[in-house]
Amino acid sequence: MRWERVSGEGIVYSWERTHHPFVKAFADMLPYVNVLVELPDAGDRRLIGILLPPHDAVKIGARVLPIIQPATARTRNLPVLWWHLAGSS
Amino acid sequence: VTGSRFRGKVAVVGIGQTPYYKRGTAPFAERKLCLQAIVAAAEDAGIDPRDIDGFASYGADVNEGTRVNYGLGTREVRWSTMIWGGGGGGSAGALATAASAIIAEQADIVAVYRASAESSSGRLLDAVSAGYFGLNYLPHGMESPANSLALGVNRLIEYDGVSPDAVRSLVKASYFHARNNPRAVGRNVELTDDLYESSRLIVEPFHIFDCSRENDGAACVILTSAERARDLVERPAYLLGCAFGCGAHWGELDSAWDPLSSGGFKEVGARMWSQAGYSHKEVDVAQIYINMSGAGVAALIDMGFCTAHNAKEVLFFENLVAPNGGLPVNTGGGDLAEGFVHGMGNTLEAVRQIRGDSPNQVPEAKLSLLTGGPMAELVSAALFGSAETL
Repeated sequence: MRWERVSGEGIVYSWERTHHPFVKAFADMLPYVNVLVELPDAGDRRLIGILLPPHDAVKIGARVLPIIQPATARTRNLPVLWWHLAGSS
Repeated sequence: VTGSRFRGKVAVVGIGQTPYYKRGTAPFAERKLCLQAIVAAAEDAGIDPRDIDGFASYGADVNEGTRVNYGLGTREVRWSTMIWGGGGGGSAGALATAASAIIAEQADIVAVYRASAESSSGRLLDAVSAGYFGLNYLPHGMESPANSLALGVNRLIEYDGVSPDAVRSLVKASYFHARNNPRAVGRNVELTDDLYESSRLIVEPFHIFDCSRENDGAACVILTSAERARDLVERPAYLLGCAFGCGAHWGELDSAWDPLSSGGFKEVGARMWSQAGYSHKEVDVAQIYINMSGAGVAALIDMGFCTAHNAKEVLFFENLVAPNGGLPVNTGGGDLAEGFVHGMGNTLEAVRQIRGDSPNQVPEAKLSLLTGGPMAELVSAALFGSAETL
């Protein structure tokens, strides 16, 4: 078993847009979009992430690309993958 | 009929509850609310509360048998169990643990209950999230049940093709029934399409009216053997089938659920129907746990009442309301409009329909379905029947 380089491209399996400030650390980002991303390069495993704006065009099946976020207080001191819609920048 | 050693062996003989208070406003501590509900259920059954020898609950309840026994004057605690995990997903399943204890001669009279008061146990929302959400939620701004369920429900609507009209009809039926229920917290809300659509968004696709909102309160049902039940009450609600659990592609790793848009009842539903010897076609009335609206639709699909594609043709408002609808659901107002003590109120209403004393009684209801916790890591279902269904 070894590490393999993959494209990182994902497919939106589902999504949601949060309007209510359930999580204080994210209140400044409201409304924000979460995506559940399916990873074709990893046996279609799914990862939860944030979809960065612009996200009006989000829909199931949309292609997304990852951005590695360093650990911050907002992410509970964990490095995470966030996403943007392929074709937007 | 089915060869089941479980079917019809146990019945509910008493129900009791406190008022449902706005969360954080109950005049008593949680333990006292719990005791009040148990005593009320014992009085309803015509039994001495001291004779209750079994205690069963679910979903982070902390009022275990050895914490209520002094208050009740319990002679002997012989059974005290919780269903692990799944939040309200264990609400119908707690009946299975109680019935199993009675059938296996571990206890004679078992109380199944749920109590919740913010002043004692904090927010239910926090208890559910803490026990249930993986490490991957909080770093991405997801903490509430609305967050966890919206992913499944959006998939149900956008990908599986369930019409949002079906979702809205389920919500409207709940609020419609609440208007006849003096116990319902939502009894004064006239939920029009306009009010629903213009209400505050919580997590898309959920508006505020799609969301159950936790109340302070407690509710209890008391079970005993069918033989004893017949001596105690005129119309016992016999437990024909009851199952809880999850299948192979389900459990803790919720974002891996397959399919994500399912209510999670595939195995539980099949097991329950098989045990009961009835199918969804024979059900007279259903109490469907609704944490969030669309998850209730998923439960109805799983239990066989419709498919994603014909949901709108089956789950329309007139069909979902008593007394004339073909599939009356949440006839007390349910988790959305009667009040939410982690789904426990559904059990009482399912029993009322068999007894004939629901605020929205379905004429001659004989088979009364109950589900617990759609889109939870563990779910449950039960079917109550009148004597003629045995």
